[in-house]
Amino acid sequence: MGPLYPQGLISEPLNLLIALFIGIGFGIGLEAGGFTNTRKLAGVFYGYDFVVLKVFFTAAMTAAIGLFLLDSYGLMDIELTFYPKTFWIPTTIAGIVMGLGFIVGGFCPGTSVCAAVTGKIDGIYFVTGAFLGIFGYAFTYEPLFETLRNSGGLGKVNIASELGISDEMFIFIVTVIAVIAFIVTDRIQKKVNSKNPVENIEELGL
Amino acid sequence: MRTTDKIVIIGLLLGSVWLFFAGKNAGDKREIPPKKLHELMLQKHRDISADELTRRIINGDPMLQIVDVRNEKQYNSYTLPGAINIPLEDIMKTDNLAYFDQDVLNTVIFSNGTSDAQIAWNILTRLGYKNLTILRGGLNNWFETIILAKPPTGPYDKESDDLYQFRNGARVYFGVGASSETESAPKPKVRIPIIKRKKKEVEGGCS
Repeated sequence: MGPLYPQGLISEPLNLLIALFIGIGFGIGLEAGGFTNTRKLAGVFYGYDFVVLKVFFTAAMTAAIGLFLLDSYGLMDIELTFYPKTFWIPTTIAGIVMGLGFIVGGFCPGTSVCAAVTGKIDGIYFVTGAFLGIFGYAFTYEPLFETLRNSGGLGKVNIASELGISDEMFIFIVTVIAVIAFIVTDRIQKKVNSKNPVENIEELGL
Repeated sequence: MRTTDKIVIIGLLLGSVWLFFAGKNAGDKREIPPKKLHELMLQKHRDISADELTRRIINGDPMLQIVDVRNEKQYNSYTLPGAINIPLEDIMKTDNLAYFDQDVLNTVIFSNGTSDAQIAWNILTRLGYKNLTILRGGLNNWFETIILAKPPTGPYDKESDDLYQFRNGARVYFGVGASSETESAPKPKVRIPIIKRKKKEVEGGCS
C-alpha cells in the first residue's frame, strides 16, 4: 500500500498539504512539551534535564518499529521510502557543527522555528543565523563545499547488513540501548539536581 | 522514574520483540543485500564450462538440473539433453520457482548467449535460491565447443588431444557422427522428474 507519494497514490499538492498539517502538529507538540525553551534543550549537555534525549530517542524507535511492522505486514514497502546515501566526511563535520550550534544556541533547527514563531527573540536570532548559513552555503557551494560534500561517499549504508544481523535484531539492540540510556540519564539527572537544584523550567516563565 | 517513562519503555520493548514475529510473516519477501549479491557474483564457481557440463550430462549426474530459459519455440527446435524449459518471462511463476526452491540439485541455467541466463541467475539469487550456475558462453559456445569441436593444432599435446577425443565422443553421444561436423544436432528431451518442494517457513526471527 504505502508509501503514498512515491507510488503516485496521492498528488504532490496533497502530499505537501499533509506534510503541512503534520508539521503544524509537530510544532504544537514541541511547544507544548517545552522544547522551545533553550534551557530545557541545553539541559542535556549540563545533565539537569534529559527530556530531549528521551523524546527524540522514543520518537526514532517508535518510527523504526512502526515502519518495519508496516513493512512486515505488507502495508508499507520500505524500499520505496527515502534512504539517503552516506558521505561520512561531510556528515561528521556537519554533525560537529550542528552539535556546537545546539550547545551554543540551545536550539535544533525545528525547535528554533517553533521558538521564533512564539516570539522568542533568541529563536528569531537563531533562525536568522540558520538562514544566513543556508544562503551562504548555497552561494559558495561550488567553489568551497562541492569537493567536501562529495567526499567519503559510501553509498546506501545499512548498519544492520554491515554487521551481518537482521533489521529486527538491530532495532531490538537499539531499543535496549535506548532503555539503558533512559535509566542512566534518569539517575544522572537526579544526582545533578540534588547537588545543584534548578528551578522548575516551566515556573521560570521563559 | 515516572510511570509514563515506564510505559514508554515497556511499549518500545514489546514493539521491538513483536518485530521478530512479524518478520516471520514477511518470510521470503526479503531479498539478499547488495553486498552479499556482489560476493556471489564474484565467486569462482558461478559458471560452468561447456566441457564440464557435457561430462556431467554423459555421466548422468543425478545432481544436475539443466534449465533452458529461452522461449518455447527455441527450446523445441534444439536444447540440451535433460533440460527443462522455463522461459525467462515465466520465471517468476510460482510453479516455475518451485524448480529452484531446493538445495540438493545443482541448477545450470543457459540461454543462447549468456545475458538471459544472467538475468535469470540475478533474479533467482536475489530471491535467495542456491546452487545456481550459468553455462559459460551459453548454448552457442557449447555448440561450437562440443559439436563443432576442432582438432588441436600445433605439436602433439596429450591434454589437448584427450580433450578433442572427449569432445568427439560427446558428439557421437549427442547423435552427431564423429566425422561429420554438421549442425543438425538431435533434440533429446529427457525430463528429469523434479520433486517440487514447498517453500520453507523462515526459521527464527531473522528473515
